[in-house]
Amino acid sequence: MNQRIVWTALALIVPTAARAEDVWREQSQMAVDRAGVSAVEVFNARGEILARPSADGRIHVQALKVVRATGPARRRELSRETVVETSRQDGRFVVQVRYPQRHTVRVSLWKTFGDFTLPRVDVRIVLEVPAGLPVVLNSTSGDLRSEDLAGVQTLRTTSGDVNVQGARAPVQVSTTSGDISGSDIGNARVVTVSGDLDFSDSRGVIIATSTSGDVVVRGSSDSLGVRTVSGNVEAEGARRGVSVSTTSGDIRIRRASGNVQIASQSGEVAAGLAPPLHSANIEASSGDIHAKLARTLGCRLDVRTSNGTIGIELPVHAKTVTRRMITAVVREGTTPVQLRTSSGSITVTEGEGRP
Amino acid sequence: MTQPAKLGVAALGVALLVLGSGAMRGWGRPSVSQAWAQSQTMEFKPVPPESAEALERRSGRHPSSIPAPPATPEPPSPPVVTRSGDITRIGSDIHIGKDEVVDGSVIAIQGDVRVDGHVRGSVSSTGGDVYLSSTARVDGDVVSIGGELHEEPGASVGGQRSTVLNMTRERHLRRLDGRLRDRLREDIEEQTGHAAALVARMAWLLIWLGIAWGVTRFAPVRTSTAVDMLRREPGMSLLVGFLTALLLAPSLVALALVAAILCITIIGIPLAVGALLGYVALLVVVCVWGVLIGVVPVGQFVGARLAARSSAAPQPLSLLRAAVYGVIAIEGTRVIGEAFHFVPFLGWVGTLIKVVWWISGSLILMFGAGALMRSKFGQGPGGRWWPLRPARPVDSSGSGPVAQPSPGPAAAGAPAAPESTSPPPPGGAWAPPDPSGAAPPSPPAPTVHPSPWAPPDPGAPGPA
Repeated sequence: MNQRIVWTALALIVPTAARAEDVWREQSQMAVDRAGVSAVEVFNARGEILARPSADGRIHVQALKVVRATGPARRRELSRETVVETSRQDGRFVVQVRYPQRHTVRVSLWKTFGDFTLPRVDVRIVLEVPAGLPVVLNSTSGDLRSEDLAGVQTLRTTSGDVNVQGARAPVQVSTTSGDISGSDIGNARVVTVSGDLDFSDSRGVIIATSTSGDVVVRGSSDSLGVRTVSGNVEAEGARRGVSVSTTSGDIRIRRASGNVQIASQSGEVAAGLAPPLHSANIEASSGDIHAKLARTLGCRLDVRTSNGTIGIELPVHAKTVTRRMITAVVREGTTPVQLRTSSGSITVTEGEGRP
Repeated sequence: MTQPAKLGVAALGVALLVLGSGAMRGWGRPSVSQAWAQSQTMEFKPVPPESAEALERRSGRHPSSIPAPPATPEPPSPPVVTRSGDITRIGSDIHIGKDEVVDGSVIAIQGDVRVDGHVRGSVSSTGGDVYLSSTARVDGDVVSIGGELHEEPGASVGGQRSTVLNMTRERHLRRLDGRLRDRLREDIEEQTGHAAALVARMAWLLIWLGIAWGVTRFAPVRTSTAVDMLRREPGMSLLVGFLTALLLAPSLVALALVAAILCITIIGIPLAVGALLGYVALLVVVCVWGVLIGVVPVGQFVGARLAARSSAAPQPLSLLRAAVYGVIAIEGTRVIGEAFHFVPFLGWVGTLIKVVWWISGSLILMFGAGALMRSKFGQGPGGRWWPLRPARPVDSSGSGPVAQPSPGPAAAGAPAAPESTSPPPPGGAWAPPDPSGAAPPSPPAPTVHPSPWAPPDPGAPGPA
C-alpha cells in the first residue's frame, strides 16, 4: 500500500520534473596553440570530462552547460553563475569550472504537484589534446573518459566512474567509490576504495590497489600487480608475472606465467600456471589452494599444509611424502612451485582451462 | 587665503587621493592582475538539444575529430504517422512505432515504454522498463522509475537519462513473493510453535498428575504436615520461601567455591561431584515437592466449590484428590491459555494467562517450598534438620519425648513401607505406620489447629 502511494507520488512529480523545456543548454568552444603548454589540466566537479586526441595539433576545449531549473529567469541566472575559466599556470593549460556555491530552493506544496524542477547545473567538457601532451582530469562526482590519448594521463574522481580506452602512455587513476574500466591500455596504476576495476587487453604493467572493490583483468600481455583487502581478484592471463595479495577476497588467475606471487589470508586461491614460468609461490592462511598446471609445464612442486589435506591429481615423481608435505618433480622440471596453506587444503591438477 | 586658492588646494588634495588610492589598489594586487591577464572566461551561447547531442552522449567512442560547431538541426524526415499531445497509459505498455512521431511526452504507469520512432517530449515509465531501439529518438529526458532503461546503440536522447529505484518488475514481484512466503512461513512457524507448546503443556499436566500421585502415595504424612504448616502459617511460609529463593544464588556460589577447593585433591573430586549432585537433587525435591504442597490448598478450594455445587452431601477431600484438583487447576489453566492462541483475535488472552500463570506459579512455589522448609521436610516443628528423620514423638504439651512405640515385626528386615496416609497430629507428634496394615493409633484430639485432612479416600490408592 505504501509502495503504491510512493509510486503514485513519483509518477505525479517526476514526469513534470523531467520536462524537456526545463533544460537550458549553452555551449562554448575554444582552441589554443600548444606552444608553451606542458600539460593540460581540467577541474570540473560535477560534469563529465572526455579527453581525446586532437586532429590539428591544437588544444580544443568544448563545454556544454546543462541547466535545469524552473523558469527561464532562474535557468539564466544559474547559467550566468556557472563559469568556465581557462588559464595558464606554470606552463599548464588549466580549465576550471566554477559552479554556484549555494542554492536557495523554495518549494511550496502546490509546486511539487505542478511545474517544478530542482535546480541543477553541470558542465560537460570535451577536451582534445595534441599527441603526447600529459592530461590531468579532476572531478568529484563526474565521470572521466579518455580515448586514444598518447600522453601521460592522471584521472582523479571521487564518486564518478572512469573509463580509459586506447592509452599509449602511462595512466594513473584514483577514485573513491567510482568504478574504473579500461581496454587496450599500457602501463596503469589504479587506486580505488570501493569501486570495481575492469580492464581488458592491457599491454603494460597494471598495478591496482583496492579496498573492497573487485578487480577483473581480461588478457594482460605484461605483468599484473593487485592488492585488495576484501575484493575478489580475477585475471585471465598475465604473461610476464603476477603479484596478487588479498586479505579476505578470492583470487582466480587463469593463466599465469613468469614470476607468480599470490598471497591470501582467508580467501580461496585458484591459479593456472603455464610456461614460461620462472617461479611460483602461492600462500594462503585459511583458504584452499587450487593449482592447475599446464600440460607442458615442468616444475618442482613443494606443497605444504598444516591442517588441511593435499591432493595431487597428475603424474609426479615424488621425493618426499608425508601427511602434511609433498615434494615432487613434474615432467623433470626445475621451476620452483611452492604452495603453502595453514588450515586449507591444496589440490594440484593438470589442464589448460579455468582452475 | 582667498576663495580661488582654497578651491585649488582642495582640488589638488582630491586629485592626490584619487591617484593614491589607485596606486594602492595596483600595489595590493599585483599577482592577481597578472594572473587575470592570462585567464579567460569562456563565452557560452544557447544551443538546441540536437547540436549538444555529441557532447551529451555518454557511451561509445567518439571520432577523433573536432566536433562541428553548433549548427542548425537538420529537419527530420517526414513522418508517416504523427500523434499530437501526451500519451499516458496506466497498467499497459506503450509502443511508439518506427515511423511514428509523438509531439508530446509519453508516460506509462505500471507499463513498459518501447520507442522505435521519435518522441519530441520526454519518456517516463513508472514501474516499467523503457526500451529505446537504434532508431529511437527522444528529444526530452528518459526517466524510468522502478524499472530499467534498455538502450540500443544509435538511440538518441536529447535530455537526461534517469533511472530511479532501479528495480525490475520481476525483481519487485520476486520480492513481493518472497515477503508473502516469509509471512506465510512465519505464520506456520508461529502456529506450529503454539501447537507444540499446547502439547508440551498437556504433557506437563500429565507429568504433574503423576508426581501428585507419587508424592501423596509415598509421603502422605510429610506432605500433610507441610500443607498443615502452610495453612497455619502462610505468611511465614511465603517469607521462608522467598528467603530460600534469595539464598539460591549465594548458595550456588558457595557450593561452587567448596567444589573448587575440593577438586584440588584427587580424593576431593568425587566429594565435589557428590556435593553438586546432592545440591541439584535437593533443589529438584524442594521445587517439585514445594509446588505440590502449594497446589493442594488450591485443589481443596476447587474441591470445596465443586462440592458446594453438587447436591450430594459434602465429603472431606483426600490429600490425593486435593493435589489432583490443584494440579488440574493450575496446569489446566496454562493449557487453556495455550489453546487461546488458536482462537483468532484472542491470542492476547493466552499471553495474559501465561503471565498470570507464571506469577501465581512462582507464588505457589514459594508458599510450598517455604512450608516445606518450615516443617523441616514434613517432620513438623519437633523434627530435626540432621539427621533428617522423623523426630521423636512429643507429647501434646511439647515438654519432652514420649515413649517410642515398639517397631513391628517387619520393621527391621522388611522393605520400607510407605508412610501412612493418616494425617499427622498437630504439634509434630507422629507415630510410625504399622507395617502390618493395621490402623494407626488414633491421634490425640486436636487442640488448637485441627488438621483439615480427613481419613484417606477409599477410592484413592492407599498404602499396601
